[in-house]
Amino acid sequence: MAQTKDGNESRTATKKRPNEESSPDKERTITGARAVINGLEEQGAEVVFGIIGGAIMPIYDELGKSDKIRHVTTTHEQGAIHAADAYARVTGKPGVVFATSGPGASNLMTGVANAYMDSSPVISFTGQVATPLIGQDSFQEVDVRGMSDPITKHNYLVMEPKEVPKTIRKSFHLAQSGRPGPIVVDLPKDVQMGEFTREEDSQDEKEFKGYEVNPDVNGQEVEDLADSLLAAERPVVLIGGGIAQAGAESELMKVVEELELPVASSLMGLGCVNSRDPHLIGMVGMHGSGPANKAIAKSDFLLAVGTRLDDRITGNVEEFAPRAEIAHVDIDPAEMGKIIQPDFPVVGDAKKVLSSLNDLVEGKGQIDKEWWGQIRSWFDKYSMDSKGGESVLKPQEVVRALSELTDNDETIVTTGVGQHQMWAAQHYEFTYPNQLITSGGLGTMGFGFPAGIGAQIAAPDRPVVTVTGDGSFQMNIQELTTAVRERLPITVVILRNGSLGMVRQWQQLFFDNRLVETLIDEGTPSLAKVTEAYGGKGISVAEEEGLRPAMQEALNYDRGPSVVECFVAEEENVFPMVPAGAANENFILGEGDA
Amino acid sequence: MPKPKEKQLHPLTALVKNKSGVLSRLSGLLARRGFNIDSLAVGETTDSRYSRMSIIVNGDRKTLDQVVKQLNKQVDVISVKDLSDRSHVERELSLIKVHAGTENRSEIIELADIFRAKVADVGKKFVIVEATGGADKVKALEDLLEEFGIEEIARTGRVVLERAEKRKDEKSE
Repeated sequence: MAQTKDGNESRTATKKRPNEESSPDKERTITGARAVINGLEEQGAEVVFGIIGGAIMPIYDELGKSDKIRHVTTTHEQGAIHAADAYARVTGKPGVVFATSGPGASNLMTGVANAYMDSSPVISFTGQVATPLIGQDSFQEVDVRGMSDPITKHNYLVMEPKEVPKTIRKSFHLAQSGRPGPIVVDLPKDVQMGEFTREEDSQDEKEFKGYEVNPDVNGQEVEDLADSLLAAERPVVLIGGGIAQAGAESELMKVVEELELPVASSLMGLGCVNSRDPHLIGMVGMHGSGPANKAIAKSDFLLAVGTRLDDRITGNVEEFAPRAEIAHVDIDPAEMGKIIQPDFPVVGDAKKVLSSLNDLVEGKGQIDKEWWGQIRSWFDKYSMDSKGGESVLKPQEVVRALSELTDNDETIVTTGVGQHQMWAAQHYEFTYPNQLITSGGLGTMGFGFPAGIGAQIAAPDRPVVTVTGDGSFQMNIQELTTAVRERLPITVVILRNGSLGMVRQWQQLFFDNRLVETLIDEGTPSLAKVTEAYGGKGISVAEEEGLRPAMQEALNYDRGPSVVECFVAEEENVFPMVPAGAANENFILGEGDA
Repeated sequence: MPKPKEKQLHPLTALVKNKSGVLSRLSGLLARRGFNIDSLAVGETTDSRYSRMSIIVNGDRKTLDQVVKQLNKQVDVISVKDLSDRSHVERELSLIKVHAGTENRSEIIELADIFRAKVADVGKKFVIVEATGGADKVKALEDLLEEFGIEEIARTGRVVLERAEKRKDEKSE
């Protein structure tokens, strides 16, 4: 079959334009594009993040007619999907993204992978070249389904207009149910423009055969777990993002308070236990607190809930909780034994499991006081308090100041990836689940600022702050356009240290201080001035003295984004640190310790 | 010298959606997670909406457990069954093109007969032997035919199906 360059257009021409408003006729037809917008409205989607392009024009044309859906045009597709990811984490509803075919879709992929690693329900709709052109290396064609296979919970290439409504219903169900995750729906242009009648759309009940959403909790497994937990002398609870996903924080606290259990948290779990709660012993893993890593190393029973026990948590797997019986509670059966073979595997929703666990341990006493005594001694020994009061600006102090100034139980914090992310995790006092929106699994530099945009759109009345670095901020700095256009009062706190600090730290510690390609200050402009040029507010700070007033001024600014560019002590590194491959117990506390 | 690690082969059978893209997604999953797959075969079932995959996994119990769970997690996978400890039928079909002139053609045909294999095609220089059976049997025939010189070989990969009747010592699900 011969193809012409304009084949795309000629092949996708529709027979007739449906007249929706005036025809009450049940036989009326609608286009695939209209069905996308109808489907989104039915699912209650209120916001779409995206960028228009050739192959998705029919959908945008229909979007223009909707008064229920707000569209936020970002400057780069990566910005759109990170924003949608944060939107999903803040609202608990799927984030929706539109992008065109080819580069539009491929630009999304980092964000899809990010959502996949952090189990975030993001649904991306990508335009695709018309079906007759697929597979011919057509203009702006890329195999979106093939590319997204390894990084999606599920994906679709829709080949017929009548499949559109069903695909949207399925996508929303899949994205949010069980262990949430990203969905990609690839829509060829002729499928968007082609028509179908409503009768052709039928719900197929068997569509989800074999897809188990929320398995029943095995009561015997929880009983066994409870018996061992009650018999333990040195138990520790380790929580992850699954607690926030399941909304299980109060069920967790019941068990914790009942038995007086110490709780360590992964990065993703921060906030599920209030930072001021004495049961929280800190973050675990590579940059975790001394008490948390010590307690897990010495524990005789570890109750891990809603965490996939990844390598940044476990350190050397062989030496992770080596003396403990391990109970692993997760909604995803595939997490059981993926990294650590648990003695007590329990598959189920954290809320359900913890609630039945609470029934079993209620009134059964509390754990040994001696264990708490030991944990408290580690708090004295491994304090993370930095001195402060110095003339140079310490990055840790910047985070603490921010934490104090936004101590209101409603501020949302987003971060990029690197040293600033770890300082935010270590020194900001998180008080509720999902307060911290960060790139945990994929470690995507550039996530923080667009995530701030998504968070602010999800929660217009709450303060949103982005903690980022000069490296991370510049990876998606172009989204200042979006924040200015949408008048989003995000406060961006940049810990500017002139380097790709986390990698520089590794070079200093493990590569004999050979600083190869990690110093980036030369060429980096004034980020405050850049922000001003975009139309936002920019402030620079270099000394601790001016920090709080500058930060307050930025937090008060409500006409658009504000940036506080903090020139921090360049040589600061993140400690404690567990060297890669080492046991968590053997963390180093400072430069001289390595 | 340490003995090479012996293969631990586990037959799995999976019922999956019969749609384009499913095979590529699932085989990609197996490759990406570093699972060692000895053989993979797919075909439509009596219900055209579904296909049956036969997967022979090489690895220890832990690997096997993960393969089953990761496959089960996929939306297009209806069910996965590990047949290692279940009584099952396992077959492979092999088409073997053997060098055969007039002098040894009858010898090859005799050999095929012993293995209950068929001669699917006879030419002036070659015959094609069609062998069906368990992997051991097919391999044994291949080894014997090797003496005549094998020109080409095409195999289906192993297909497996659970037996209708369970053994007495077998647990029901």
